[in-house]
Amino acid sequence: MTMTTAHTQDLRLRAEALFTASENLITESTSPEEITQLFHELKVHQIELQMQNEELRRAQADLHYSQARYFDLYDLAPVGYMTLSDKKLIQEVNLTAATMFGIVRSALVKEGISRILPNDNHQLIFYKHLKQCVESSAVQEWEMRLLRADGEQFWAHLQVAPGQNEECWLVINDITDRKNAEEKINQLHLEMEQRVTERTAQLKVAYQEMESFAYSVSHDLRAPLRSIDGFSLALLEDYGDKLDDGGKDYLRRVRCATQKMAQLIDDILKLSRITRCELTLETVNLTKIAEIIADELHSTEPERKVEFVIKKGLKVNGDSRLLKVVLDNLLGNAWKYTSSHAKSRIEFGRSKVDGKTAYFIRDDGAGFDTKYADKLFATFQRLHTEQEFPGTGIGLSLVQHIIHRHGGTVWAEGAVEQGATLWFTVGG
Amino acid sequence: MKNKWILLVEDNADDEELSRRALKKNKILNEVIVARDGAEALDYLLGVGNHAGHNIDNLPAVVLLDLKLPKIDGLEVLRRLRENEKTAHVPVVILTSSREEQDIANAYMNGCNSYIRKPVDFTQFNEAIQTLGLYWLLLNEPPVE
Ligand SMILES: Nc1ncnc2c1ncn2[C@@H]1O[C@H](COP(=O)(O)OP(=O)(O)OP(=O)(O)O)[C@@H](O)[C@H]1O
Ligand SMILES: [Mg+2]
Repeated sequence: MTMTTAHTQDLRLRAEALFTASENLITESTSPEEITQLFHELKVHQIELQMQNEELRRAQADLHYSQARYFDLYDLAPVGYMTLSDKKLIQEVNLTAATMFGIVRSALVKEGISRILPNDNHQLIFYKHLKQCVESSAVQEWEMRLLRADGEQFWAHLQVAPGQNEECWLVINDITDRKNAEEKINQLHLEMEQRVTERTAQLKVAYQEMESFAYSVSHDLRAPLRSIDGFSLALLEDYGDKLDDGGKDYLRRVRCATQKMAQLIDDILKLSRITRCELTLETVNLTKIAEIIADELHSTEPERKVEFVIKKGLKVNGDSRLLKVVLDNLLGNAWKYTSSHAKSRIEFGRSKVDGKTAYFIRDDGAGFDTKYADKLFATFQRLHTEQEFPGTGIGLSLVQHIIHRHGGTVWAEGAVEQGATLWFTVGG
Repeated sequence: MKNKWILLVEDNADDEELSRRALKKNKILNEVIVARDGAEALDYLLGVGNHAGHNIDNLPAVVLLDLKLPKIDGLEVLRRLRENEKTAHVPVVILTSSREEQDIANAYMNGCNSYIRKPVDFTQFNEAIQTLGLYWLLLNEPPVE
């Protein structure tokens, strides 16, 4: 562009010189050939000038175009731009920044930067970053509140970069929306925490109530039972000769019922204790536990022909004490509900169910009608009578509690007289 | 044997009667004195309060102590007995229907000599009392100071 300007200047000077010269040159003595020659030269200059003019106009258009681009890029940028002098005066502001601060651009130019800072403290922070930027010649970024012309504040992300001649360029991003969202998240987080604390406290109270309830159940409910049993026995022992067989039988039934009730109390306590105790996680060797239980079962009724098939190497992560309760009950049930068959087989193994590792205990005993499969796990719910198989109906509900506490599930399959399979998963 | 008496701390009259009967059945004929709550037991053993002036030199051969008692509970009674040098060595057997591990741990921590759970089956209770009698009143000599 400067090249073109210089060239144009030159052409013009030469034409002017020619013209001034011609004023002196063209006299009476000037020959017509000379005039024609002069005219021709001027014509050539004129054409050249016209071409130059054309070029200038095009350059002008280019300039307009790039100014417009500059306007688009600078003024309509989605972020605010400011140029700061080394005296911390605002030298240039783009339209976006002016809009952010709710003020006309001219009102900001030549103002001190403190104009957009809410207070002294913000000034200190701002200057600190500015200083760092100048000293390290590196871009500094931070977030702070800025002050609008109407006195309102908004959250901004600031970037300051070193510019030319000790100037600094400032980039301002309005992050009010993000901050609001963050604040909302924080608020929600706090509320959640608050709620968790409240719940924990409530739970603690509930646990304590539960504990004292368990205590009085075990203590207070037992006392009258002891009296019933004790005095029934005293009657039998001290006044037995005054009772006939029918009377003695009644007393025997009274004592049986008290034993049964004591057992129920113990079972409820066991259940409540398991629901509130903490899990201690470790690697548990289920195979080993099952083998020990199988031996124990054999020794209780050595005459029974029961074959245990226990898969080797079954290990899970869990609470060993509680998982022993699970296997105690499942193997105990298998043992009990096969007792009506002369010979039986009890298998403990592992398999994949819907892509998940599941453990099973399968027997070929009395089984149950599969339509009651979900009833099994309810507390005190039984599918067999006390005469068929003794029990209180707490075992599987204990098992379910423990498996749930391990994050697993438990389910049952069975068919009458064709045995039962109890499945469980352990977490994950 | 004559002045080897038993202090039974028991608020439940039925349990008192059954305990007496069990002792009698097991031929333990020692005198049984009953305290109805923890406060009375302490007053009696330490010779204070309602039993101020009571001669406390003749300590019981054994204290059968229920855990859940009115006024002052069994564990607190045990703690106070152990604190006092006069009664620090009196044999104490906790008799209770609570099986909560907590109770057992606490009882042992406070220095009881034995812990017997009153079973609902009275035959078992008889056996427990029998063991108690043999152990504390016949075999075990009181500590020599
Ligand atoms: N292996 C099995 N075969 C057939 N029926 C079973 C089997 N396991 C459980 N059941 C049925 O499910 C019911 C509930 O079992 P659960 O273990 O909870 O109680 P229980 O064995 O009757 O008594 P408890 O285990 O409390 O002594 C049983 O009464 C029985 O009818
Ligand atoms: Mg069972």
